[in-house]
Amino acid sequence: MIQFDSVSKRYPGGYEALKNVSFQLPQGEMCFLTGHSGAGKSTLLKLIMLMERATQGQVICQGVNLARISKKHIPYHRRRIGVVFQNHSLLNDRTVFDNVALPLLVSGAPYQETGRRVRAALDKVGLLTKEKKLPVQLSGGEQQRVGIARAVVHKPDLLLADEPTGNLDPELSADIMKLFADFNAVGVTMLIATHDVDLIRRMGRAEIKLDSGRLAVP
Amino acid sequence: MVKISPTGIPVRANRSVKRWLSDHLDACLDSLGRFVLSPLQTLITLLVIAVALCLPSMLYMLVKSVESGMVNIQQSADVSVYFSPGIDEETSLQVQSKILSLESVSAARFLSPDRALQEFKEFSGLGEALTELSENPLPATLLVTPDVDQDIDALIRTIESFEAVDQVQFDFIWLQRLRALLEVVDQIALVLAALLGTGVILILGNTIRLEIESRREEVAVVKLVGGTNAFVQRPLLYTGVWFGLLGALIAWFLTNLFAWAMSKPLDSLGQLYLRDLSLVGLDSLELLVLLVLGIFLGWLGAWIAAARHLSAIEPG
Repeated sequence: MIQFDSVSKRYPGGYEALKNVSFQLPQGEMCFLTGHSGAGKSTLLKLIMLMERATQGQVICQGVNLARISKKHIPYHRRRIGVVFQNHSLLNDRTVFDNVALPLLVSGAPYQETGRRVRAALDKVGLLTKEKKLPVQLSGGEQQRVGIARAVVHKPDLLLADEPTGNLDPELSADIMKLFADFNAVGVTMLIATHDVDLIRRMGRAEIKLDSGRLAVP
Repeated sequence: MVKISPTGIPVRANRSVKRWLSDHLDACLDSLGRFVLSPLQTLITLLVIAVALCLPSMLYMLVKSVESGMVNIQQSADVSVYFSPGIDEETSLQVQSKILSLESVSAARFLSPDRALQEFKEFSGLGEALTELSENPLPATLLVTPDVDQDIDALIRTIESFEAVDQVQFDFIWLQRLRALLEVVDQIALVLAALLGTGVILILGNTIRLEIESRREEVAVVKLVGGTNAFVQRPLLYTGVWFGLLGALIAWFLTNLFAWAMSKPLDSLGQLYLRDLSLVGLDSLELLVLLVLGIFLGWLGAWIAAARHLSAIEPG
């Protein structure tokens, strides 16, 4: 599903966030990406989302060499991936329903299907009754679940998460991880960046560890 | 049917015409709805656009009205051709037919000296005093009506070259000067329109830039979930179109208000000169041109701003 071949990323100004990173994430896998802050976790996810491009090496995602995707085609690449952020990235002037519907709206999905899929996604994260609320009317944990519903509403094969439990207490974090495990159980490949070591230990999943931009043995 | 890019990614689901229309309608109404969010700012921007569009259209209206008034005046502006004393009626009539055969002449009326005196008595108010004259001092006269828009100077030179003709008089030289002046004003209106049109583009460019700035986060999120530039740009272009359209409508209203406000003073002025003076407001075709122009300028301003500032916003 994801393959990194000797990937390096140097930012303008010379800072090298990733150094010669190679790994493979097979389809259907659920994997944690760990490391101290600044180790390059976010950069690695950004390379997959084409928010940044590798300076060296190849990133292959869903069978496509990302270097070959032109700027014009980046949106279509992103539509095949779901992504969850620590800060939710929700639109605060739109309802929960509209936020979750956004990936379907931008890809021009039929309206009937939109309503059905948004409600299915909200049901899955347990927020079906809050579809008319604005994000600010929800708790932090609920907002994060709206973000997750938005990430899975278009049924991507691949789900990326960047510190999805960063701001949540342990109990809520466990809930979120349980959700992720459920998605993984139906075949979604997952890559979750986190520094929540306890959580990873409890989950007992594969782990990719970064140390100052290099791959480290966990 | 789904189009596949060279890299193997499906790039565009085949959207129905109905869906395409409904997406555009959504963006169109959404951008109009946003006006309500900042009504004062919207109103000020609209008024600036309206004033910019209204100045050249008022000038245009002024030129158009004076021109149409001039046609009326010129239609009643005859060239008087006086024959030399002692020319008999037969020669005069020969000259009349020569003049009538000229291309630039639409009519030529012959006045014998007696007839000329009679008319002079009637219109000058000197009737009784004139009966005291021992002989008729007036020569035979031809009243030549030139075709509208002809070169009067050339016509006068031609008639002057006829042998029996003593003097040619045309009292409306000022008309031609006015016409030349109007052409200058016309040019000024064009230049002004070009300058103010550029102004409208810049104003809208700036308005849209601010709008993009205030929606920065939203744009980033939409791009992150796979929104194309076209998708993000669409409501902004409609915002520009709305500004242009509504601004042009206000400009049309202001222009006709100006015409209405000027009608009374122009009427009094006209009465002094025994002329019908009035400002002719914009007709429906001119309104259409104004609206299309407004829409185009609005769209262009928004497009330039979107092209410049949207691609700079990337998630992350």
